[in-house]
Amino acid sequence: MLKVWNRYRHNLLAVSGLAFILLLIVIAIFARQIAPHNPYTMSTAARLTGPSSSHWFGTDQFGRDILSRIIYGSRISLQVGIIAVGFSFIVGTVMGVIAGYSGGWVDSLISRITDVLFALPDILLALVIMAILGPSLNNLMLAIGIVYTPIFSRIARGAVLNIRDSLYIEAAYSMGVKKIKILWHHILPNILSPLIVQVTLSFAFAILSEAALSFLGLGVSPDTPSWGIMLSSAKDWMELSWWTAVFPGIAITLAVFSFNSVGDGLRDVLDPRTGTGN
Amino acid sequence: MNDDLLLDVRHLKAYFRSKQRTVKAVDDLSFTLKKGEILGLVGESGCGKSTTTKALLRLIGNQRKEYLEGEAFFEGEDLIKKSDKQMQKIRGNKIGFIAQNPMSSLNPVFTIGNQIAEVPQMHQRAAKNKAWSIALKMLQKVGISDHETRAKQYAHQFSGGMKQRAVIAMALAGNPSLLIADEPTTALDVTIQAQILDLMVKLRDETQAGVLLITHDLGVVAEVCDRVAVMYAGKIVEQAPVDELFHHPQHPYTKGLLASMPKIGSRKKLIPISGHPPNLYEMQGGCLFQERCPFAFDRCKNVEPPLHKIAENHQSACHLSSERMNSF
Amino acid sequence: MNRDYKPFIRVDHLKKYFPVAKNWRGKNSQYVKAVDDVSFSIDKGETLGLVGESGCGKSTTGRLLLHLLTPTSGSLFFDGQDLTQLSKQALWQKRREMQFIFQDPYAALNPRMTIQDSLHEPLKAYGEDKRTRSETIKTLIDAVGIPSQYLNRYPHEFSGGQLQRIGIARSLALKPKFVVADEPVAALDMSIQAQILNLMKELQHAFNYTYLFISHDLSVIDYMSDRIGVMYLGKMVELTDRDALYQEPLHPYTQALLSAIPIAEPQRSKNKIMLKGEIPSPVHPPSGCHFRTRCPFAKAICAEKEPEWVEMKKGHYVACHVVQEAHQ
Ligand SMILES: Nc1ncnc2c1ncn2[C@@H]1O[C@H](COP(=O)(O)OP(=O)(O)OP(=O)(O)O)[C@@H](O)[C@H]1O
Ligand SMILES: Nc1ncnc2c1ncn2[C@@H]1O[C@H](COP(=O)(O)OP(=O)(O)OP(=O)(O)O)[C@@H](O)[C@H]1O
Ligand SMILES: [Mg+2]
Ligand SMILES: [Mg+2]
Repeated sequence: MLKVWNRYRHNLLAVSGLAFILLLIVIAIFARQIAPHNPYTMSTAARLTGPSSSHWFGTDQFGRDILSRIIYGSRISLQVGIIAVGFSFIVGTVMGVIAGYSGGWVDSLISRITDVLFALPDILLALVIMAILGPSLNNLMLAIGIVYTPIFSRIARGAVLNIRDSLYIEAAYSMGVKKIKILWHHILPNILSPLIVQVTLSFAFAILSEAALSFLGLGVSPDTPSWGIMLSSAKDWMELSWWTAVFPGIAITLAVFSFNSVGDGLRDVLDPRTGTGN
Repeated sequence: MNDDLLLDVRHLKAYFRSKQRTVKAVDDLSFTLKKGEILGLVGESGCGKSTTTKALLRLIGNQRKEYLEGEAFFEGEDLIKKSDKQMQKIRGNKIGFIAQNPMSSLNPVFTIGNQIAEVPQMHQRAAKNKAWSIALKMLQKVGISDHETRAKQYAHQFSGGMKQRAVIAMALAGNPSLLIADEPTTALDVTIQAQILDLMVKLRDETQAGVLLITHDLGVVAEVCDRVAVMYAGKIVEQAPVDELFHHPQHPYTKGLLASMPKIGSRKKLIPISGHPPNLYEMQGGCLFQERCPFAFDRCKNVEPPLHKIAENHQSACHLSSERMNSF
Repeated sequence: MNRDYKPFIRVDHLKKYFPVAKNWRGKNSQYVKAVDDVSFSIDKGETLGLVGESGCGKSTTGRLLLHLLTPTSGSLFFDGQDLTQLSKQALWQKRREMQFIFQDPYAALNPRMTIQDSLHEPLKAYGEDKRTRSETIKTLIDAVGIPSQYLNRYPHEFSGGQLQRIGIARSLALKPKFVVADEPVAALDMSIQAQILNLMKELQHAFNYTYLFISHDLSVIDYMSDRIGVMYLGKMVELTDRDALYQEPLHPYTQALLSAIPIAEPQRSKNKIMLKGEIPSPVHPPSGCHFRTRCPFAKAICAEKEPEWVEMKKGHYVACHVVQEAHQ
């Protein structure tokens, strides 16, 4: 673990990404203490005012403080990201590994299911699930989780198929290592890097999906501070009041970018061959 | 400068660094290779032969964990000073490389045919179907039967020797003017080995390409090489034309190597060189072979013997052989 | 022959076909006949050498013997038990007694695991405690000449020959009774090769190990084997005592093979029997005798009938019409 960190810390971008994510977590936890205003308080007098000393990032169409809403929004974004992506990562990987490792009819069955899920457009699938489950934050996370499960399953299955025929797997088996141990010690560590990359990408998508679904009235209620909702509702005012869109946009971009660079950094250090380079 | 000279390596150093130590895998290595010459490079396992090839191809560079120094003039230009982009154009095109580990050159997710076809596609801008037919022809040349079916298979479906031949086909597909072959025939039986060696000799005869051939098989060296360089612990310790080296080896390491060769029909216990290979990171002063050398004397402990000319074209890095010369 | 005599290892009519192409209904329609009806036995404490052209099925035979591949048909007995009939658990118990030294040492090691972990793995799998493991590994790693300071490095930090020795140490760690050694010394220089071969022989003497020794180096095969089998295109074509094979090879392929051995004496001219013609495909092998397309002595009957596996002299088996006719 220490070795991994020692290699990781040489990657400036990855370290900055990690720092930003940690910062985000701190902000999310201490939102109440940090935020200068109440994110729900409306004020007709202060509608769409530009950045100023009292409202650093300006206010939105209802006069709510954008900075405070972004700070509170980090809670929703992180929560949706972690739970939804965590769900699809775990379920998808397990499905994919089982399919790839066992082969035969199990593989066919799982592959058919993922193919069907895959064939539907993401948002449509999420919409259908949300329509069945009813709008709520939990259901939203579940829907996003289900939508991104097949991609993890596919990646995991492909990676397993790729190394299942490797000589070192056969070698371990020939030396009496049991199949389940081979799975833990040889297969999982070797398929992790494409999955980690996918986690970071999915994180970004999850944050965006939450925005889209919330905008359609299927997620959190529109007055909840969420980056996605802020960005989508800003699109009507953007031309006049750039700050309504730019700041939530920056927040999303930074978060997505951070997750990506952390993923890249991890991929490099987890592979001793590329990890030795610079 | 000599017009015949294809490769001129001077004071090449390649180290691997880690926090605890620096492994001096190649340490102050110099040699030359003429056009149309086949130079054999032999030496103990782990003495730095593959590292030398990787340094020449710049597969190791000057980075946090690797250190590279020296000069290597190829067709008059220093490979060590080239940018990564320039090197990419040279690798696989002007310099063909057969890596010791065939799997490091083969991608498990592409078919063998596609990987060979990529060479003419990339370097000669051949059209797709033209490149494919070149790939098929190369597979045929290295003796893979049923090449049309085989070209569509993946690496794990090939036998050890077939993988090796696929890599050879890849290296030769670009018509290189320098071929670096690192143990190219370890997995091949003698009849196919003869065929592959023949292919290399033909390449040399037809295009005046130079070949740097690394092998442990002294029989192969005797059959195809013009000259041999013997490496020990990151340095060249002896260099001579093939006949000379086999009949008048000078360096005690070379002698030990020749003596440990198994001979058909003789069942005598094989005699390896005694002692252990030296650590490449705790090198003491003096001659690196002295601890294992049956002839070592005082001077060997303190003074490192330089490569000394013993006869025309024959050099050896041993105090004994240089002394013998002086006493004449 | 004694009727109660039971060889340690016996294979009967062993076959392994790999599918290469599917027809339009997704059914396998074409096969590589990697091993096609091979029968032989190995006694306890004996070394059977296996030679043959690249891709002829040597590694596949080795894998079948250890039941790493399921045979298409045929039976295989290990120590009196039919491996194909064993339960999973019983097979797992047996695995401890039979080990494979893999042809490609790079690929046989997980690139993400340190050598230390890889070496511990098989011993851990059979529940050895940490102290026993470390001691076993220390002794073996010393015996193959790898410094123990190197243990926490990753595979890519070793040279080809070092990895090969690590692979050998790993396979021998479980103290198996039977070892399939697939080109175990191909990447080693003569001196270390001598050391490893001696080590394998010493272990054999001390613990009565049985080896199937696959190599393309006929001088190594000569040094190690008691009996030698020659394969060609999935079939065994000759099997006999070591001396008989080198002194009076009967099969034309064996003769060609022996004549192609590179000799470590420059400029010694040899009468090589260069095999003409292309290597036939294992998917569509020639009718009758597989070797006939390249055989200098082929007759009409060779194309019509497959030659039988006949014991020509005591313990000297050969499958060739020409030889068999001449002896009648
Ligand atoms: N990436 C690396 N990091 C650290 N040490 C390395 C690395 N690569 C090689 N070495 C060490 O450098 C030395 C030279 O290795 P090299 O592969 O050049 O040997 P070689 O002469 O090709 O041997 P062989 O004949 O066994 O292939 C070896 O002792 C090896 O352990
Ligand atoms: N997993 C596989 N799938 C398909 N074909 C295979 C597979 N393994 C081996 N083969 C084929 O079986 C034949 C015999 O292969 P094998 O590896 O036994 O040869 P070998 O005698 O060991 O050759 P070499 O000396 O080159 O290692 C080859 O034609 C090879 O392509
Ligand atoms: Mg090497
Ligand atoms: Mg093989």
